[in-house]
Amino acid sequence: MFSSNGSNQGSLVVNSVATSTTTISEDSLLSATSDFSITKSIFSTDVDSAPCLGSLDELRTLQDGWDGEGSVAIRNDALASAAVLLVSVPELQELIRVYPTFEGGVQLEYMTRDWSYSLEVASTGSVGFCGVQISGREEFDLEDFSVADKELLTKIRKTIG
Amino acid sequence: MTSKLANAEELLFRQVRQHQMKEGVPSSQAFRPLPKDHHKLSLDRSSLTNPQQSFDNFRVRGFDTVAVFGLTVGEFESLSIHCFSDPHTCNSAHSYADYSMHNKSQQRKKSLRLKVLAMNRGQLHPI
Repeated sequence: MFSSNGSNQGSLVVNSVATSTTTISEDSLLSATSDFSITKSIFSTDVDSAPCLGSLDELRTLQDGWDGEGSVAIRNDALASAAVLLVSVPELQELIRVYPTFEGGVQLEYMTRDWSYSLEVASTGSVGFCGVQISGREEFDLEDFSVADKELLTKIRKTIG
Repeated sequence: MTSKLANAEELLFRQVRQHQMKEGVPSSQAFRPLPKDHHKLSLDRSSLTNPQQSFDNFRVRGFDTVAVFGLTVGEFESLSIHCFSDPHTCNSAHSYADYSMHNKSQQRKKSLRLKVLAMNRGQLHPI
């Protein structure tokens, strides 16, 4: 679970379902957001009310080779960026499903209002956002956003709002 | 020897891996080739096998799958993706969809459309 932990201030503590405990560093989160208020918000998020953060946690158990030769363990920068997205746009938490990517990133997918969307967080933490109209031919694909990019967050909110 | 599949109605089975499924919903990643796949998405032909056989044969060969979805040759063609028969000694029903005409961005968008089509048809196995 994602949780704050007094004995590990400065790190986002991720207690896996099994016995190991790992951390996403505050530096990773700040690097992803450049916004301390968002980082602070993640630290204080109640995981019981945000199960998708638990889904991110599950991805941490995947080791190199998890999907055969060449697949890469999910990177901290990707997990941090995905967590930032989910806290920055909390409406996403009700809609998205979380998947690992072969290249060590995280994919968040959702469908709403006749559109299907995919947010793909690369292993570096950069974000791509694409969508297709289900009953028509409209579509878009935006690449290489920082997770804190206001244009990206505005675009995501518009799809939900 | 490969040959282009001409029957637009023929259903092609796609195996979906454990990590590509969440709460019964497949990721669009299941409907596009991985980097290691050289732009070819592996499928099985419904004219030569059925969803359960396809699923079982995949697992017997040591591969991970938790669900079978289906897309027709015509659905791939509608997105300018051509399909080819490609029988192997261990799987005579093997075929593939060729994404090589499309760049990474196009493949992402097409896989989102294919996911929706496959979900509309529903999971074919196990049911």
